[in-house]
Amino acid sequence: MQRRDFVQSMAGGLAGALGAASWSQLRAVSAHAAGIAESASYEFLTAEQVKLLDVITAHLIPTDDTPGAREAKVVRFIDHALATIFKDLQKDFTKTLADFSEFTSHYRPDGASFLALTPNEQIDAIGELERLKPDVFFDLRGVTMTGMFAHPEHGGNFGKIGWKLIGYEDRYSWAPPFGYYDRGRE
Amino acid sequence: MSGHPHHTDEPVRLLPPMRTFAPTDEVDFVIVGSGAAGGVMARELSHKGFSVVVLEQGPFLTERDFSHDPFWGDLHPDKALTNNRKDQPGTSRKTDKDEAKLSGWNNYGRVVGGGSVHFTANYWRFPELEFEQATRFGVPDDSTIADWPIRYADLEPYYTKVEWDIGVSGLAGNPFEPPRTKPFPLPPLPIKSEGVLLERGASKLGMHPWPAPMAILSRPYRGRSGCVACGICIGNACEVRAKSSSLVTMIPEAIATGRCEIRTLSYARKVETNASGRVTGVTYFDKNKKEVVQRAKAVVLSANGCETPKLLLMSATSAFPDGLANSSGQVGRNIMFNGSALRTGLFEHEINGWKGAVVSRVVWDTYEMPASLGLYGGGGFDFRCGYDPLAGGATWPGEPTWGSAWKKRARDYFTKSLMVYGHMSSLPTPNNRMDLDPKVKDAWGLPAPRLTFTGHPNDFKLGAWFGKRGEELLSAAGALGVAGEYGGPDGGGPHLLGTCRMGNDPHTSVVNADHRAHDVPNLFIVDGSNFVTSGRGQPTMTIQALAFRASDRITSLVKEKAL
Repeated sequence: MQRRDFVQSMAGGLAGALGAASWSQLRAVSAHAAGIAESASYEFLTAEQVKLLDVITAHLIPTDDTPGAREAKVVRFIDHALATIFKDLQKDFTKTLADFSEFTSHYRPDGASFLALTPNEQIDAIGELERLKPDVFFDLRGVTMTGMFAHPEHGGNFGKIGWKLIGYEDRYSWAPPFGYYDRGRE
Repeated sequence: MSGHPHHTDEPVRLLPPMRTFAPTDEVDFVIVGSGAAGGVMARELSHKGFSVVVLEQGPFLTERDFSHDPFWGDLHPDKALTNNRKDQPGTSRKTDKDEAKLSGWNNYGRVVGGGSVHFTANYWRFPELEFEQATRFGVPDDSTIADWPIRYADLEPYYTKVEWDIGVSGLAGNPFEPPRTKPFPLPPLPIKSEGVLLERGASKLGMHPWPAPMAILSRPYRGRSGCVACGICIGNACEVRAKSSSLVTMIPEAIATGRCEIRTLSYARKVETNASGRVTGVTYFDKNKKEVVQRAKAVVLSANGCETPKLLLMSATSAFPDGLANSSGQVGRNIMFNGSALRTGLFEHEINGWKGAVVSRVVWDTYEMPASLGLYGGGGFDFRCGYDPLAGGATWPGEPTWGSAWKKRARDYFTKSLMVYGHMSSLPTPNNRMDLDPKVKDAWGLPAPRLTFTGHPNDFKLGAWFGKRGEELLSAAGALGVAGEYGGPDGGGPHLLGTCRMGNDPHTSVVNADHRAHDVPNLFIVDGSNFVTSGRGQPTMTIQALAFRASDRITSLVKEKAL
């Protein structure tokens, strides 16, 4: 999954077999590998949890005039992270989702589940959650933001959608001026 | 395969071949730790002709092991830069009455090069007053602060040596810097927008902003590349060898002498002593958790202000029942972490502080506080961002935290904000200390270090003052809004200071001014644990100056046959 390991192993294989491989070719191969196919099965989350998280994360970072959590494949990140880098958080996260479902099931007197609410009701219910159960809200927000802004090789931030949103570029070499205020000082 | 080291599993040939020793060889020195202090000790002692084995807990990583990804260490524990709290837990409590709980209070670099591999690289000299505060300002109630047994003038040649030998960028002439004998070897790093804004704010308040002294190369120097301003510098290892860590400065030069072995994945567990009370070597766990004894004529502990006292306390024998070199009872005591006061400011235009090194301007007018304020100690300021893109989820008080409204502001929060960072001194107190947890063990079965810490009341007042001054700096710089409220002592972190205090009196200190343990003639302690006072926030420069001086003192002792 790691870009470097992947590129390194590909480089060893290709360079060994073909004698030469351009970096752009290698990059293309590794970029393709980092994107998880739509049809791929999930590693940790249940189908029900995937559906729920898809709606929650799309409310937190909606698709409007720019792409949002859905396009950035944030749920893919959450799933993959819980199977790898956030492995220790599996139990806590499962409880957070259960707490979310429990809290939002009281939104309507008929006890409708969160997914059965209208989009406006869902937004309202998340707002109530933020006010009354900030721990649950910020757990969900935190993991959503991480999926939006972590390196794409972890499954989210697809196409660097998150980084484009905030104006970050992973170019790893810059020269002044870095910002507005140091113009003319370089 | 040749020509493209990144395409192979062959080691990158950045290092000369390394001499190795057998554990049964009695080497001149075993040094525990390869960081800011251990690296200097290894290079200096091996250069002076001594045989040296350095025991390092962590691995020997190079540029191709490093990544800008904050989750790199989670995915590759064998390439993590800092200690793993699961394998090596620490515990902490506020007072002796409390039960200590698991905590991450002791943060240190656990690779060859130690914390210098990932540090921010602020290289501030201590001011002259730092060394004589008890005399000049008295000793506050409930504090054990004392004068150092050395003065700034004793360290000045070594501060200069640090700057020239490892490569520090900066500009001489800061009115609050103590006298220096040589200019910096390298000009300052380029000014960033944060630096321009600090100049703006500080000048309006009548303060004196100045180019920051940084242990990062502004130009190529001694065979290493200049900084390429990749960004996300804090907490990360440099991929172009521009950050002047021990890993790329001292360690390769030590190895090149042919007299120094860096032995990695070696976790020291006991300093061995003989019947006459002299040290004979160090027992460590090798990478297979097998105990090995490396024999040596003398031992230098440079393991940091937590691991060094821990090792001494674990080295108790019937002759040293309270731990080695601890007849004073001072091992682990007087612990200090520095303090911090942080505020965030939001500005009109893009700052983009994630590019480049973290700090480009500092303000030191507050090194000494006006007596009328009744505050002990002092500190300095910088403006910084140091964000990585995970900070893209930032929020602002009173503004929406999600939905389209938040999304429209996310870019502003990431690119147009900065932090004012007040770095402050901390007072040592009679009860603040680290010792060995009686219950919690690490993955090797060794006791976890336990912290007992309550900040001194003065340091909270100092923090409140620095926080307020920080707000004034932000406003004067033109911030549209200011957020944040903490100011006070840090209750842990990477600045692990004071736990094997240096002093002339064997009853109140652990080592003398030569860094020699009062109780053990051939045991030396050289790291942040020696600090008598905390400094104004940036300890590493002084740790290295002390190490250069210690290596001269130790060499003199050997020549005088006084070892």
